[in-house]
Amino acid sequence: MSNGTHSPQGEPSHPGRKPGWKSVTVLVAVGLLVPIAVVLSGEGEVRDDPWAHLAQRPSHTDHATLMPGPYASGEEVTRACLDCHQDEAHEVMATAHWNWEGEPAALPGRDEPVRMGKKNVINNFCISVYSNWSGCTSCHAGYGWEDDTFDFSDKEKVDCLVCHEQSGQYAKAAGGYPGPGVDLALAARSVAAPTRDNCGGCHFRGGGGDAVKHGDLDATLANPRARVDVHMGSHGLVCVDCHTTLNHEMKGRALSVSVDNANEVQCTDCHLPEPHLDARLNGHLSAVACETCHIPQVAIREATKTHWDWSTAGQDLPEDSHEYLKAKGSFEYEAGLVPEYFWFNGRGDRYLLGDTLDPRAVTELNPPLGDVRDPEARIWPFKVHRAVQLFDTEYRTLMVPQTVGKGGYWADFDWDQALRLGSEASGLPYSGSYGWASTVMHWPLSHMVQPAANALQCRDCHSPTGRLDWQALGYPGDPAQWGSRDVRPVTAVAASGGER
Amino acid sequence: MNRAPHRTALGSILLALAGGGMLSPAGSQVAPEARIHPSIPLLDARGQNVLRSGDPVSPRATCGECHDVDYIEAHTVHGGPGSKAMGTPAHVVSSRPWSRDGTEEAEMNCFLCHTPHPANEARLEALRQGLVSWAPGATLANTGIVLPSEGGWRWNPAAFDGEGRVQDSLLALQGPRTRNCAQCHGIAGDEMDDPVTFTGLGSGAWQTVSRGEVISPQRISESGVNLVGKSALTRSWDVHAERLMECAHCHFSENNPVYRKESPATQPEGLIFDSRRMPLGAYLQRPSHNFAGQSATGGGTRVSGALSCRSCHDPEPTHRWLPYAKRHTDALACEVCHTPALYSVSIQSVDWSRVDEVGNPRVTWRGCAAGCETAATDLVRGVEPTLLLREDEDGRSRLAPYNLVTSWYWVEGVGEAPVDLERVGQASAGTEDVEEIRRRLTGMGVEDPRLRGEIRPYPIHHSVASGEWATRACSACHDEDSRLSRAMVLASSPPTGELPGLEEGAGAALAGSLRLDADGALVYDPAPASAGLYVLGHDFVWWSNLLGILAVLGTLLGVTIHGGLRWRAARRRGAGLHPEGPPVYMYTTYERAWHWLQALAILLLLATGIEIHVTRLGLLDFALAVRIHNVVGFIVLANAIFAAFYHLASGEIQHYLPRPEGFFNAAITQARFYLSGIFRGEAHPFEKRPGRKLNPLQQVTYLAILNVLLPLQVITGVLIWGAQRWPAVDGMLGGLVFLAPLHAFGAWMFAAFLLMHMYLTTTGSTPLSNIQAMVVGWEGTGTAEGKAGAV
Repeated sequence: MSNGTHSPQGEPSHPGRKPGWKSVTVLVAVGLLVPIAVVLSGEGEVRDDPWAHLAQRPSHTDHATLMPGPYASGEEVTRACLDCHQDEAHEVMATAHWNWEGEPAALPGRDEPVRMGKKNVINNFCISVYSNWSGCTSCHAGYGWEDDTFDFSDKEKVDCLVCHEQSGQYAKAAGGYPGPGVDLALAARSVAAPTRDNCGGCHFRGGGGDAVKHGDLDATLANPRARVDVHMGSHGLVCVDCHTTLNHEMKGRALSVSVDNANEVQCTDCHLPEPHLDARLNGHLSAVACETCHIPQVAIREATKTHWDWSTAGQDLPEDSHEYLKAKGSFEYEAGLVPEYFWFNGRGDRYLLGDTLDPRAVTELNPPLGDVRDPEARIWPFKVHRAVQLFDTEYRTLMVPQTVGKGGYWADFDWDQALRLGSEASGLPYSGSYGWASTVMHWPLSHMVQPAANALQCRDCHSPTGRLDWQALGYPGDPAQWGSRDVRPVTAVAASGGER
Repeated sequence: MNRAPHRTALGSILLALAGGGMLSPAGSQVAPEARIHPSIPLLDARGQNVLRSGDPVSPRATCGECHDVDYIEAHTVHGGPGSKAMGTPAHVVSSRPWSRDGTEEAEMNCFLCHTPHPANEARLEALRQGLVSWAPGATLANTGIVLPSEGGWRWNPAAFDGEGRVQDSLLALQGPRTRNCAQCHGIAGDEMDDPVTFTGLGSGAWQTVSRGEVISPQRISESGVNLVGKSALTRSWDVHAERLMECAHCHFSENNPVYRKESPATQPEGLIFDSRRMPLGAYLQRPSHNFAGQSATGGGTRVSGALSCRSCHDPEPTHRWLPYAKRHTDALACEVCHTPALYSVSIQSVDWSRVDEVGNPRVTWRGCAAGCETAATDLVRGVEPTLLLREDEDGRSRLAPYNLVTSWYWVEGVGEAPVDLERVGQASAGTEDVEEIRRRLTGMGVEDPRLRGEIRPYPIHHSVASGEWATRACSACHDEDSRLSRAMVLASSPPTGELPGLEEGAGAALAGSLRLDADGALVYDPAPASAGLYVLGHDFVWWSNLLGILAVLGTLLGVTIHGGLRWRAARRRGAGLHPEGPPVYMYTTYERAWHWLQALAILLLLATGIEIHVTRLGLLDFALAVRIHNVVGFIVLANAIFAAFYHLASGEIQHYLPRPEGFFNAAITQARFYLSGIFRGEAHPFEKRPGRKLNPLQQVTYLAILNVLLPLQVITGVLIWGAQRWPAVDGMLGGLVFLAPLHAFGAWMFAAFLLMHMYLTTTGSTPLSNIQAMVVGWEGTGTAEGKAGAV
């Protein structure tokens, strides 16, 4: 009924009474809807809705006409980008993708916070960037880092294309320069938000080849089956959906190069802190990382490198890139790798250049921190990479060999010469005598996540043949029988004891 | 040999263990599976070390050194493992008396259940060969302690230490594990990697073939079974197996001090936990081998305080999401929803009326695509168990899932003893005709052979799904053709047309009826209503619906005809006979709000009510419809109470009270107006005015609505709502079986009234004048003097 259509013709005889359908409507609506709303509200279960937490993907401006080209060099493309995106180069130049080092971080047993990163740490793959810049920096988001004279303040050296181009034909070569035959104009016109291919170009190939380094990152993730990764395979996520970016600063940490857990990607960024319907499963969450059950194995389709013995290099043996190369020594690869499990509170310790080691022991390059008594630590899955590499028998430090370029090991197969060159570049003293030391690295796993249907089940851990070594983890025995760890403060324990 | 030293030894071991436990701070190296059994010599029946005598091992003599074997034998239903029902399985398709395999003389076989890798096949082979005394020794064939020698077994000296004791690492005596039980009870285990298959599934896997139960931590999707829809079944076969449970965790020994729980009947009031325990040593010396929760059909005794789901689980905190949770848990066994289906095959019928040359009956199966002739490779469809009424320990009867196995067998004489299979075999050689077999049996001297049919209900307690995989959809039951009434074929071609009966003493009762269908198949039609259950959305009562629908249709027809006639008369007559006069304030704001609230609420009740009544309409989620219906019902009640107060307090009640004086004349006058005057354009005999809003017919109608129909709906409605709050009150008043159809009938009547009421509002001075008055309060009527009458 529209307003007034059926209202009486004359004035009401009682001036106080107005034609009152509005108040009636309100009364009826309140009388009916309020009780229904009250009863129905609060009955719905809070369900996991990860999509609600996912950032909207902005539509990207088509640059086809904005970047006409031609461009003679990468720097020329960057200059064109900076015409419009004036601040972006400075943003990139504040990130680890450019600097290959992070903010100073505290390390156990050291007085001063240490600034470290890919730039200056030793790993047990290709060992060190020092003296090997031109080989390593083909994955640097810049142009021309070929020695220690690279100018980190030159914004024209920023490589915008490596993360943003979508032409599929862009590639970087030594020093990070565009490779031969790359059509820079084609690449520049194709720019958009980073896809899996952009990130994967470097990160799938860490360690010098597909799947070598991480185990949970390889080229199968460019377009994965659901079986390989639920996020990217079933739900179509791309890397930057989780590794969100603020002013080109990516969210995410890698224990190999950063020892703190600031700005870490967490499952709970999107998922409920207690996502399971089952209380028993949720009861695990304070001691077990999501990844532990939901990443039952990595290297699902592509084998990953688990051992690297540099000491056997230089021999004229039959070569096989998964077993032995004269330049690199002998390897072991494993597909369907079952992780190893350690306590991890998100932070790590780090072997730094110049640290002395015990050559008879295995040197931990990036041990994860945390133990059974650490309330912040949870049991995490790791790919463990074991290696044998060079150390100075006199100074008892791991050494930096030059492998790449003139005089490098890969040219002359002369370790002594490679170490002298490496020592010059890194400033690490070399006594002239070297030996072989065992080193180990821990790679926390967070990709190749599986849905509940493929997650670990109780008996995968809680059985005599399960994959967790309870006593090595610090439990008296299987906590299903011996009880879970008690990490409450001592006073709380005493208080609860007193109540009895 | 004197037992005392051994007892002391056992005691000192326990003491050392207890001490060790106390001395071990957390974090020290304690083997998680600390073993307590000492190395022992194996003794023969004469108490001689078998290594010396070369004779078969006697568990009685060997284990009897420390354990009280007489006590154990007196406290077990396993009948001395190694004999009786645990013998050769060829005939153990039913526990009929003839199915014993004649190995009663075999000795209790401790090794079958207490060693990690018993050689059951070797044991059975020894029994088959008549090497009965070697059966326990043969059970150790996998350990290397015994070695096969020509036609028998010999002891391996390398397995014994210098003092003639068998190496403990070889014997590895332990408490029974799931895989020990699985040897005889069906597919069960803790294996994650070895895929479950139904290869060779036979009567040796009795728990599985009789019930369809598979007890495994494996995901069904990862099993080796050729199962329809397998890939979506990413749940485990059994959540308890998944959650690290072993058979003995539920089926514990009745005197195991760890599990001992006093029955609430004998426990003094206020005592929550009686911490007095039998010493572990005493238990180990005399462990009862009666286990909690033995199958009612297995003839076992129930251990006091024995297990049910509720022995460990309290359904209350985990079912708060479920509307009417208590009502559900009072009427349904946990297994109904938590074992919604068995993804395996199970036996349907066993027909002993004729047996083959080796004495095997004809067995039919359910759960597979085509006859399950070879259950191992057939496509498995799974079985939805049927629901019977089960008497629970708390005295309640609940619907619970069962597999029904129907068997037919010949009995003779007054005592109805089963006819032995040899004679049945002879009588049925070359014929399938039951009458012919009967004649032949009679000819063999069998006294009055009769074919008896019997349905054995096998209760389903295993293959349990976690909450995530349990039945959660209301429509699984609250729908007309839900599982509650899904027919179960008991036999596609029963040997006799006589309907079999349910086995007595099984603790279950049929909740439905048996019939032979057109093809001669024996079918069980469950009907929960026959067990006193009225399931909303599933059940209805024909008279309630029929009368209700007739009332609604009749009203609809009546008002359609009446309205049509009025329309025709008005067209002939020309409109405008009752020009609208000055407006009159007819209904106060409260009256109008009350009216419209009630009107909308009742419409909402009818809409949600029909959805609850006929779930398959699918307009609204069942649970949501119930919730809205409940709230709105209370809105109607509250609104009615406020209105009653208002009308009483304000005196407005007088409109609703027919005046006795001249009431009938007035009513007849009004009726005559509706029947004829209205078509001629006559004026209303009792013109509505603020002082008298209702005519005599309205008064009597409202009197009936407000005093009969509304209270009926409110009372039945509140009682149905309160079914789980005051079940006793409901029960007293006939339960839902009576209340629900009554409520449904009342709803139909309300619908009919509503139709009539809405139609009659159009009989004012103009078709919309009454509605207008109820909306805005003012009504233009033909009488000028009514103006001042507003309250």
